[in-house]
Amino acid sequence: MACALDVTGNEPTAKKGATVTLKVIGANTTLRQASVNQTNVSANIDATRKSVFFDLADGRNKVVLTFFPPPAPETLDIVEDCGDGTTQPVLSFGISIHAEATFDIIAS
Amino acid sequence: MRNTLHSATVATTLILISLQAASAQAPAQFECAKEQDPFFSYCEDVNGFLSDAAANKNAAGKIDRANPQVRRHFRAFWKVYSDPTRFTALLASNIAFKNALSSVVSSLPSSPSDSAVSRAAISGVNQNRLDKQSGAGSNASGTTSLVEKAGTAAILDFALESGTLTRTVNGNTATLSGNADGLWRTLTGRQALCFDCKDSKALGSRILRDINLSAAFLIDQQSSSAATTAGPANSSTPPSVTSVVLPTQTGKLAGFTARYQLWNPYDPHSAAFLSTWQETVKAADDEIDKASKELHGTVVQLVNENRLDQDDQFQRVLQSYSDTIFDDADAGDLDKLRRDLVAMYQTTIDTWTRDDPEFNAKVATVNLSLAKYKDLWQRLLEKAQGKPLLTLEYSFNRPPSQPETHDVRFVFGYTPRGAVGLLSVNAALSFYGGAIPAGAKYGRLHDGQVSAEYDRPITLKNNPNQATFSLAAYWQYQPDPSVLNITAGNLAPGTNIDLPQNAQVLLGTAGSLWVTQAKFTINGKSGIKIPFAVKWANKTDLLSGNKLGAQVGISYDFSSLSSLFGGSSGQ
Repeated sequence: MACALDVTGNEPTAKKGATVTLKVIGANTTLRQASVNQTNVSANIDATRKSVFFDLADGRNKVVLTFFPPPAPETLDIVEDCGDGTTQPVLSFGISIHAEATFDIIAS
Repeated sequence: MRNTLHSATVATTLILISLQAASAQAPAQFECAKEQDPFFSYCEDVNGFLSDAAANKNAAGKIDRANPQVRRHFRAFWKVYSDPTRFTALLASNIAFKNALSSVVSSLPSSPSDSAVSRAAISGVNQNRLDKQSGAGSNASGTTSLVEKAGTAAILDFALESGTLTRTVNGNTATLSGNADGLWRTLTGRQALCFDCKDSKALGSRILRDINLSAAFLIDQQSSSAATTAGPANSSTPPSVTSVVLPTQTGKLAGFTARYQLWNPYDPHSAAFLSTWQETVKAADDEIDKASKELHGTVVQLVNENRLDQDDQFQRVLQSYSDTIFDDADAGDLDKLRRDLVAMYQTTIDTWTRDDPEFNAKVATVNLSLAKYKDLWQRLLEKAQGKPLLTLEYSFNRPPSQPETHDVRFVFGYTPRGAVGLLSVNAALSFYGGAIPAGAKYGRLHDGQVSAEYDRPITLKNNPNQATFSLAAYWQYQPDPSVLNITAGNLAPGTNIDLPQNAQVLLGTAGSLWVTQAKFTINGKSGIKIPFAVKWANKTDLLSGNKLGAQVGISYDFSSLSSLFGGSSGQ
C-alpha cells in the first residue's frame, strides 16, 4: 500500500477521500484522543495507543492529537504508516514533553 | 625508536585532521539551555531542523527544501501552535493580565459564571491530594492539623482555621503556603505550565521545586505599643496617667515554616522505573481518559475556530517566513533565524488576536484544562517515583505570651501496600529561641514530639475522593512546665507590680501531652477543602486537665488558577 500523503511541502497534501494512518513514535508517549475537523476519531486509535486512522475530507483537514506525556523528555515523531512496513515523517518534535500536536492536511 | 616516534606523530596528525573534519561537518546548533522563551520552547525543534537540513543538501550545497526529513521538524515551529498547549502555556501570564484588565474595564457580565474567562477564574483543579498541608501546624492557636504533611500547593494555598489542638489559647489562624518554584515562576512571569520546566535561567529551579514555604498569621491577635500621653484631656482623668497602650495592628505573624523534600534518587529511563510508570498509567486509565477528553475538547475548539487559514495576508507572511528561515539556515545565521522565528511567533499571536475576539478566552480555557491534565500527570509521576524519602522542616513560632521557639521536624509519608490512604508520621524537637534568662528554671529544649495520622479517602458514587476521614494521635514530652511571658496585660486586675522586661512564670506541668483527633474533610470543587475535627487532650500546654474541643477550617488552593498565572503543579 502506498503512502497517502505528500510531505514535501510546508503542509502535507493528499487526495480527498484517502485514508490516512498516523503512527506516534515516542518511547513512552501514548495517544489518547484524536480529531479531524472537530470530528472525534478517537475510536480509531489502536489498542497500543500508538496509531489512529481516518478519512480525509475535501479541503483543509485540521488534525488534533492529544497524548499522555512521558515521564521524562523524549523525541516525538508523528509519521504516516503506509501499511507495508514503511513510514514517512509528518511532524517531529525535539527532546521535550508534549501533550498535544496539531497540523493540517490539504486534500483535493 | 625514530620510526616509532614518526609513526606516532603521523597517527596523531591523522586523528587531529579527522577531528577537525568532523567538527567542520557538525551542523551549527543553538545552546538551548541559554535561550529564553518564547524561542527556548521551540529550540529543540529548531536544532532538529538544523541537523536534518545539514544532512540533506542538494547538489548546489543548499538545503533540500522538499526533503520530508527536513520538513518534519520545520513543521514543529513554522506554525507556532503545532503543540497548542505549548503555545497557550507561553501566553498564560500575558492572557491572564489582559483578561483581568478586561474584566475590570468592561461592565460585569450578566452571568459571570457563563463566560469562559470567569470559568477559568473561578473554577479550579480539584486537588484531593492526601499529602498536602494547607493549614497551620499542630502548635498553632488555630489549626486543624495534628500531624503535618510534606506537600503544599503548586503555587499558593490559603487556609483559615479555628480551634486549638495542643495550645491553651484558642485562636483563628490564616495560613499562606506554597511551593518555592511555583511562586518564583509565577512572580517572575515564567512559564510554569510546562511538563519539563528545564530552563536553566529559573534560579535554582531544581532545588526550589522541593522547597515548600508557609507563613501563619493569628488574625484575632492585636499588636500594641506604649505611648506617652500629652496630659489629661479633662478634669476627671488623674494626672498620673502619663502613658497608654495603643493597638497598632490586628493580625500577627504566628510562625514561618520551610520544608525541604528529600527524594529517592531514580532514573526515569531505567527499565524498573518505566515498568512502574506504565503500571501506574494503566491503573489510572479512566482518570486519564476523562482529563484528556476535556483538554482535547478545548484544544479542538481553539484550533478549529481560528481564522488564520482564511487570512490571505497572514498566509503570505507565513510563507515568506518559511522562505526566510530556510535562507537563514542556509547562511548559517542562527541569530537571524532566532529573530525571524520570534517575529513569526509574535505575528501569529497578533493576527490571531485580531481575527478572533474570543482568542484570549479560548487560551484561558485551554490553560485551565492543561493545568488539570498536568496535575494528573504530576501525581502519577510522583506515584511511580515513590513518596518522598523524607521531608525536613524548620519552623519558627511565636505563640501568644510565650517565648519564641524553633522547631525541627521530620515528616514521613507512607502509602501502605494494598491499602487506600496515606500514613503520615512526624517526629520533632522544639527549642526556645533567644537568650535563656539568667537563673531560668528551664532549659533550651522545649519539647519533643511524635505523631501519626492515617488519611482514608471516602469515595461516593460517581464522585471519587469527595471526602477524607483522618485519625491522628500526638504525643509531646516536655522536660519542664511551659513558660509564660508576664506583661502588664496578663497581670490580674488591680495588681500593682513593677515587672522586669523578661518576667516569666512556669505554668502547666512537665511530662506527657497526649492528643487524639478525628477529622472529616470535604474536598469541594475548585480546590476548596473544609475540614471538621474533634479532639481530646489530656491537658494543654499551659493548663492541666482533659480538654475536648473542635476545630474547623477552610482552605483554597490557588494552583487552580495556574492557567491565569502560568503555574506549575508541585508537591
